[in-house]
Amino acid sequence: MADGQKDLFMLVFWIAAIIFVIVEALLVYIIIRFRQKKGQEDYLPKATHGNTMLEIGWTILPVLIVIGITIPTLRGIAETYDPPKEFANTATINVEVVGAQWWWEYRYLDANGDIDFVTANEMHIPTNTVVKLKLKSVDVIHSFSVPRLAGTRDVIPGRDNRMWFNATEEGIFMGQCKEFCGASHALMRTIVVAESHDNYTQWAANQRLGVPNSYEQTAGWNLFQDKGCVGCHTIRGTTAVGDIGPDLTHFGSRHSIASNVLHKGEPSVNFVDYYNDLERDDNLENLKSWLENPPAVKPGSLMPDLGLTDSEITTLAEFLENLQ
Amino acid sequence: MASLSYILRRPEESDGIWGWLTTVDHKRIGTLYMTTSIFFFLVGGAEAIAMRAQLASPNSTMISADLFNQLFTMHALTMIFLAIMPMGVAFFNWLIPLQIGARDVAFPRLNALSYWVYLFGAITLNLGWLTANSPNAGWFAYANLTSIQFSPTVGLDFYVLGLLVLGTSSLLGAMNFVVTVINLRAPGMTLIRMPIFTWMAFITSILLVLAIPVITIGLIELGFDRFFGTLFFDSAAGDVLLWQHLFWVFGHPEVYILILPAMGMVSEIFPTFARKPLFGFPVVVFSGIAIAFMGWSVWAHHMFATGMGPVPDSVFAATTMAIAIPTGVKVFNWLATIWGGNIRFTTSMMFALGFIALFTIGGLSGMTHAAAPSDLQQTDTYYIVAHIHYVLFGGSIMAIFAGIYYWYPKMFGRLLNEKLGKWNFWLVFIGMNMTFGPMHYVGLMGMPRRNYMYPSDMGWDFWNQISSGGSLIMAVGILIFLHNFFRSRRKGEIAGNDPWDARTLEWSISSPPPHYNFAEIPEVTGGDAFWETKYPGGKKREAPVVDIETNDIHIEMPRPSFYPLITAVGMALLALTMVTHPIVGVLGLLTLLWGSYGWMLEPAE
Repeated sequence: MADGQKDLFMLVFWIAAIIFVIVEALLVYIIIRFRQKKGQEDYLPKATHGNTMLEIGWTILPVLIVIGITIPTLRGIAETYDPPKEFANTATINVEVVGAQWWWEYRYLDANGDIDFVTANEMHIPTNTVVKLKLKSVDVIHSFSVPRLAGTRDVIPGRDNRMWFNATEEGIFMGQCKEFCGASHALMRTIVVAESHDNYTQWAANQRLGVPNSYEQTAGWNLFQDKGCVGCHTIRGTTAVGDIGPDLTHFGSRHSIASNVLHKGEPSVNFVDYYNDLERDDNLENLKSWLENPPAVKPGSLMPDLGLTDSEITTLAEFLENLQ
Repeated sequence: MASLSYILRRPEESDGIWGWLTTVDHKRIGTLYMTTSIFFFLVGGAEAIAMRAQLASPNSTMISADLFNQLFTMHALTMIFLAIMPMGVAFFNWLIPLQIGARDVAFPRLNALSYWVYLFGAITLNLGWLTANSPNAGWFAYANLTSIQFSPTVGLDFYVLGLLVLGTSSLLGAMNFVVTVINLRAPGMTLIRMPIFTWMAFITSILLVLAIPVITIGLIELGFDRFFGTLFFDSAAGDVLLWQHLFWVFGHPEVYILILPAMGMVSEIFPTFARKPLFGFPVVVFSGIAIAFMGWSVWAHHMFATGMGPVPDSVFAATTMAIAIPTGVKVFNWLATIWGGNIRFTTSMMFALGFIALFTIGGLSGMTHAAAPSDLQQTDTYYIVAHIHYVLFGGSIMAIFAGIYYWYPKMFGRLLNEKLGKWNFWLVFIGMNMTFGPMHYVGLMGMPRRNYMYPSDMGWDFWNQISSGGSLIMAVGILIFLHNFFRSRRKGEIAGNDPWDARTLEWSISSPPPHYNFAEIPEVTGGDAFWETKYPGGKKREAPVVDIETNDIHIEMPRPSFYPLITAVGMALLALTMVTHPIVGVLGLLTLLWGSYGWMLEPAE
C-alpha cells in the first residue's frame, strides 16, 4: 500500500511544485519590475479594477487541476481499506492488532478466525503475503502505523477498524502509534519483521508453543510469581495468565523491550544500527534498566517500580531472555 | 435616600486605569484586545521555544513527557484562542466602525463585555500552570483520552471551562459586529462599496456565530462526562468518535476564522502600497464567501485515519480539493493588484508580500493532504505541523504584522520605525522558514508529532537542530518588534491622518481619531470612499480633504459603564465553580445578577 501512497503523493507534489514555482516567480518578478523608482512617488498606475476573462481563466484552470488530482485520489481510497483485485489470489494471514497504553498486542488468527497465538510488540510476517489487520483498542484512541509498509489507521475503543499491507521484500520495518494517547505516546513503538515464508512458518510454529513445565522450577519463575508479575503477564504453559500487560511467552526471541523503547543490543548502540546488525547484548543491560524502574524509562507506565534488588533483576532478566 | 439613578450613575470619562476598566469605546477596546493578544502571543511563543529546545537533540531529557504534553497543548490553545483570534477582533474593533463611517459598534457595552470575558477565559485556561496541571491532551483533546478515567487531573477541567468562557466572548463579539455591519454603514455605503477588510471581518463574524455553538455542545458534553458521569464519549455506551466530529465541524471553519481577517488586511494593504485598486474586488469578496461556505463541508479531512469508510473519505477528499479553488483565485487577484503597480516597500508591504509567498506554500501542502490515501502517511507527522505553521504563521501572523505596521499610525498617532521594521521582517521571515521548512522533510521521513522526544539516527537529528535554531532567530525578530511597538508610542514619527495615501475612510480622520470618530458622517458614493475624495476622476485634488478636527464639537457618545466588567467577573466565577467550590458559583451568580441588573437599569447618560 505504501507504494501506491507514494505514487499519489508524488503526483500531487509535482503539480504543487509547478504551481509553487509559477506563483513565487511571478511574485519575485512583480517585486523587481514594478518597484517604485526614484522620483516616481506620486505616479498613479492605471487603476485596473478587474478583468472578467482573467477571472474566468484562473478559476477554470484550478478546477481542471483539482479534478485531475481528485480522480487518482478517489481510486486510491478503497485500496486503503482492502487489498485491490490484483491480490485476490495472494496468500493471506489475519492478525488482530490491539492497542493499549502504551504497547501493541498481536493476535494471530487461524483459518477459522479463532486466535492461533498471541504475542506483543513485534509482528512477523511472510513476504509477498497480504496481511489483513483488524484494529482494536482497549483504552483510548491510538493509531497503528508502519510507514514503509502502509500509512496509518486509528484503533478506536468501541469500534473495529481494518487495514492491510504486503511486504515485497524481507526487512525490519519500524512503526509507532501516531495518535496522541497520553504520557508515553512517543514511546509506543513497534517492529514488523518481514521474512521468507519458511522462516515465518518456523517462527509461527514456535510462537504457538507454550513453555515446558520445567520453567516453573527455576528461580526466575519464583521471582516472577512472588513479585506479582503473574498478575499482569501471560506465559503460556505456566499458571501466569494475566492479560493487562504484554504476553511474555516468547519474550526472549523478541528484538526489543517495552514496545521498542529499548533494544536488546549494547546500550551504546543506537536503535537503527542495532536493527541493522542485530547483535545481542550479553550483559542484558537495557533489559535490566527496564526492570529496575519502568516508569523512569516509560513515563506513566502501568508497570510499577517493583523495588527489585540487583540480583533479583539479573535473575529475572535471565529468566525472561530464556523464554525463547 | 439616594435615587436609583444616583446609585447606578455612569462613571465619568477618564484616563488612567479606571477609564480603561469602564470604557465602551471600540477604539480603546481594540487596544485592550491588541495588547492582551500580543502578551499571549509571547506566552505561546515561550511555550514553543521550550519545545524546540527539547527537540533540538534526540533522546533529550530536558523536559519531561508530561510537561511537554502540556506545552504542545497550551501552545496551540494560546496561539489560536488567545493570540490570533483576539488580534483579529482587535482589528475588527478598531476598523469596522471607522471603515463604514460609524461612531461605534452597535452594542458598545456588549463589546466591552466581550473583551473582559476573553481576558477571564484566557486566565481560566492558564490557571493549570499554577499547579503544573495544564490541559495536556492536545488542543483537539480527543475523547476518550479526555475522560476522567484516563485524564483524572484538573487540567482538562480548565480546558472545558476556559474554552466555554472564551467561546462566549467570541460569540458576543461576532454578533455585535454582524449587527454593526448590517445596520451602521454610512449613507450610500452599499455592501459592495464596503471596504474589503470589513467584508472579511463580516464573513468571519458570521462563521463564528455558526461555529462556536458546535464546539460549545462538544465542550458541554465533555464537561458533563467529566463532572457528572454522563457517557457521551464513553467507548461502550457512547461514541468516542462523536467528539471528533463535533470538534472538527467547529475546527475547520475555525481555521477560516483565523485566515479570513488576515486576507482582509492584505487586501487593503496591497492597493495602498501599489497605488492601484484591489483587482477583482467583487471576486475577492465572493471568494471569501465561498471559502466560508465550503469550509463547512470539509471537516472530516482531519479524520481520514479514523476508518470512516471509503465513501466519506472520498467525499471529504473531493470537497477539500475544491476549497483550493477560491483560495487560489484570491492569490491571483492579489498578484494582479500589484502587477503594474507603483510598489513601495514599507515594512507593512513586505510582510504582506511575505504572506503571499508563505501562505502559498501552506496552501499547496494542504492540497497534498487532501489526497486521502497519501494523507495516511502524512497525518500526525511533522509534515502536517509544517502545513499548519505555514498557513498560520506564514499566513495569519505575517498578515497581522503587516496590519500592525499599517494601522498602528492610525491607532496611536505615530509611525512604527521602518528600520527596526525591516529587521523585524527579515529575522521573522528567515527564522520562520528555517524552523518550519525542514519539518516538511522530517515529516515525510516519518517523524511523528506530539512526541516529547525522538530516537537518534532515524535521520531526523540534523533538521530538528535547524528548526530549533530557526525558532531562536524568529524570537529575536519578535523581540525587535516588541521594542519597536513600545518605543514608537513615544518616539515614533508623527503620522498625521493619512501617512500612506490610502483609500478607505479611516484615513480621512485624525490619528488617533477623536472620540466620536467622524465630526460629520460621510456620504459615500462608491468603493474606496476616501480615495475618491482625494483623487476625483483619477487626478489629485489641489488640497487634500481633511476631516474637521476640533474639540468644540460635542457629539453624544455612549457613556462608560462598570457593568460589563462586573458581568464578566460573574461569568468567570460561575465557570470556575466546577473546579473550586459551590460557594464560588453562588458568588458568581450574584455578581452576574448585579452586573445584569445594573446594565439594564443604569441611565443612558
